[in-house]
Amino acid sequence: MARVLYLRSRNRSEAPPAAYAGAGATLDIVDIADLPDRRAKRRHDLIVIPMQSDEVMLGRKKAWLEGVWAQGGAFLANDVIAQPYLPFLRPFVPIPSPSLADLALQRHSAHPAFDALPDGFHLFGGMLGVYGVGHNPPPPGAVIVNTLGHGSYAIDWYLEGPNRGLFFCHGGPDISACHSGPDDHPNLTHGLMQWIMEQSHKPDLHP
Amino acid sequence: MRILAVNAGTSFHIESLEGPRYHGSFDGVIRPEDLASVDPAGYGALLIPCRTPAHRLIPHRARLARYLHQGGTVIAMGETNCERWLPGIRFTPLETNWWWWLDPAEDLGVRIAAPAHPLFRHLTQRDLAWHLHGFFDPPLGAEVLAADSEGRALLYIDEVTTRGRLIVTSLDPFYHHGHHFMPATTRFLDGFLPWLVEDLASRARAAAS
Repeated sequence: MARVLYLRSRNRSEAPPAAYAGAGATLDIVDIADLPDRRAKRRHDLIVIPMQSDEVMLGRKKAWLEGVWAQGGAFLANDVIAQPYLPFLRPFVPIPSPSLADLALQRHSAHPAFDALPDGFHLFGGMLGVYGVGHNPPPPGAVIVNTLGHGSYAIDWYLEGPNRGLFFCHGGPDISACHSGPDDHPNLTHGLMQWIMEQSHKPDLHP
Repeated sequence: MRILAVNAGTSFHIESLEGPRYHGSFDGVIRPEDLASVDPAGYGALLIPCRTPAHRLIPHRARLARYLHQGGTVIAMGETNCERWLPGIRFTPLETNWWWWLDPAEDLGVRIAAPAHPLFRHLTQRDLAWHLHGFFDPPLGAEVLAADSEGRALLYIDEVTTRGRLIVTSLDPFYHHGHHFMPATTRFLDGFLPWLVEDLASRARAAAS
């Protein structure tokens, strides 16, 4: 069974969003502060970086993160980034004084985790803007999946890394809040996690 | 008098505390863990922004209690579970009504409860209304500054529980401002932080005279 590692920054009594536990994989949870300080052997098929992560601590764990990336690791990263924790990331750029039309989502590229979702999957309680209000600028070579701001802000993108690694960036509040409940079919979070893991290769778990 | 702010490292904390709009309001910014070595006694107020995880403050309860005993001001913002690391807090969480404003006729119900308080020279009622996360049952003698539609405290000042001052709210403006979402939260901080700076300066002048 695939193994997913959820990097926790919030209160230890808070469980991760339920959607992360339902993608047909084992979900391991680690406090960010407890990650190794240096490179270590990659042991998980996917690393989930949820919203409200401690980016200062992620920066202190840069050697471990870069080591996972270099070994072909896969990431699902959420949220606005203020302090980049991997070399290809850049700080968030908001849409200046956005109108409601600016906050409407546009599909940019076909993607199996998004293609079958209903229109409005990104509306949280009917609200525009919760999905995102700008972007973490995509690095050169990234594939843009969804945009805001009439195509100008890449709210969802992914970058293929060395050794078949993949970094999927959702530059807004946690993607698990959108069309990822137990009655949502297809389930965005499950589909996205499964797709990311299919793209990257399995970690070598030999001791 | 100066403000020491705690930065738990999320993007919204970094943007709110270190970004260009408000960084000049703070004389020091530390990690929660730094409270083990940094004594806030040299500061007029210790600000704990919204959504600072409680487990990172609980180890410093004794430090915070000492600071309050020395007459310090602790500001605890929303979603910090401050009942777990400050004395005398009674909090009841509420289910958040995220989308009340989609109906133009809807009213979140936030009310200024003490209109004569100097804070409201800087803030209007609409600067307090974005979401509700819960309410407090403040101790007798505390001053309630803002309340919900049922009169329950959302923002209050407690100078009775300790020898210092607790400014406690369930509102979470740093979170939404730092996420670049919900202009009311930026308006709140545009008023709240200048009031706090003025208030601390005034207290310092009074203490010196």
